[in-house]
Amino acid sequence: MGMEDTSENNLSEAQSNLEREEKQSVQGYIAIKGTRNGLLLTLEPETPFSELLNALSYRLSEAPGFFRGASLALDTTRRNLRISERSQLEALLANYQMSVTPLEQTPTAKHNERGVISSSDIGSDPFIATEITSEQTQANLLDPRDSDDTLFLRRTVRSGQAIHHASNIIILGDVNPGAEIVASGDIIVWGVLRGMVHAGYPNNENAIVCSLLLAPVQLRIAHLLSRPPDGFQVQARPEFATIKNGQIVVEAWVNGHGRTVRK
Amino acid sequence: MDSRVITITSGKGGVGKTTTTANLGTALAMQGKKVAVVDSDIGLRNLDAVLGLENRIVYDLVDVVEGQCRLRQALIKDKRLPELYLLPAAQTRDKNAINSIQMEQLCQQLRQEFDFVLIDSPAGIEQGFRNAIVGADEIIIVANPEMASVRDADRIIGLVEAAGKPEPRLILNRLRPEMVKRGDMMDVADVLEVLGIDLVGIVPEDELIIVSINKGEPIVYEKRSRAGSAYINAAQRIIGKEVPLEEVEEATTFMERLRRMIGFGPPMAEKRVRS
Repeated sequence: MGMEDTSENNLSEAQSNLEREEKQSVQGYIAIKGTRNGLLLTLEPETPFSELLNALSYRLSEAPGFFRGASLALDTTRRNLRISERSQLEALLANYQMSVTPLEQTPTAKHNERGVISSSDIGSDPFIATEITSEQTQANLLDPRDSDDTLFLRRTVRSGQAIHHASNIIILGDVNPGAEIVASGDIIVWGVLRGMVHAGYPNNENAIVCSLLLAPVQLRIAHLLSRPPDGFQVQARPEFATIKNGQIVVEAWVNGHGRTVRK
Repeated sequence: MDSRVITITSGKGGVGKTTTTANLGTALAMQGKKVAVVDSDIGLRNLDAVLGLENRIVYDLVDVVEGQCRLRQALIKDKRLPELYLLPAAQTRDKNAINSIQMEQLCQQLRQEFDFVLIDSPAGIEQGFRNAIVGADEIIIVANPEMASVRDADRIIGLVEAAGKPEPRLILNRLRPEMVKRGDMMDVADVLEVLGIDLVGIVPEDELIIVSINKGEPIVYEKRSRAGSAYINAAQRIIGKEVPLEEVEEATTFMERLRRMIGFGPPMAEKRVRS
């Protein structure tokens, strides 16, 4: 089918792209090798998982077109992942429509079956904003904000790009219209927020969204959804959005007021 | 079923497919028809913004196709017209997120609910285009009176016929009467001579279109706009009403017409554009 062709094209492009990157050796924590049957991801054993995730996220975001739709085998001979780590990894890959394939399907790695996560281990539901009222089982932390796996992105998130993360997301840059940011925890944008954001996905009502200039197409927290009223004038000041009395409320981030959201 | 599924396509980008879809959809709904406009440009959606419905999107076409939500949950009701609905495209996916079979099933579903289903096609002739036409009963091609657009339109006509669809009809968009008059732009006859298909409408170039897109208000609401009235007329013709085609020369000033009438004006410009 046509789908197959595309992913193979992507793959060969991704490989040539990777070769270039390998020389630069920007991120040492993760290694993505192109094999004839797909990509093989190896994670550095000593590095904290959040840093691995950030490195992978950065690597993927640099060439989203190359990785999109590719299948990825995960080599865990050097590092085993916890369940929550697996689901976060899969959530990240889902943003690029990437799937994790069992290594044994790739003939080149047949001798290396041990210690490999198969797709059935991980579960079939990718972390995608499907139904905002649905129960989320994989993020079963009490408050996702307590997790230290905050995703830090130092770039502009553009139209068509989706960042989904099972904890907090901090973006040093702008979020443009058509971009989508979904976090189980807080979303902080040190820049202009014009895209769609969903904090506290799916049901964490304590989550907040804050930004230097808050002008989202749509703002969602937990199960609530809000959009600016027609003719709405954007305030050129830092603001934060929280849930108060069952409603999403946007307030200026001024002396003292910001303290209330940090409780 | 007398429901009609019409795909608006062009081959070339930037000729006005999305603007045409939004305005024909709005004009048909103004006539009391129940209309769904579908954005099939997955990954480069714009129809939502042209209709001013961008901030109401929760689910999209890909969610429907993948069974993440029901069709009714994804359909967005228009701000003004109670009988107009938008099915938005997904922005964070690409054209390969859906296939022709799924798209055909979606069209069948939409048929049950609507008098008219207008599908805004992406530019190009690849999977996205094939998805856009697969479920259509009729195809409307949007072309501009310039060579590249007309050549692409011709290519599309061939592909549409090869797909076993009836002969497409044409909306000639962004015509500039003063340029035609000077002989610097292909006129309606030049374009029709190449393409040889029926005309649904002639839409003049209009600065107000850009304003309308920025505001998210279709141009058919703008009484002053000649492009707006051209779209309203085109919608009438789609319904089957007899509306005479727009006169290209109407941009001439009153004085020019007067001079010409009494025989002192310059002769009508000869066509210098070769087809």
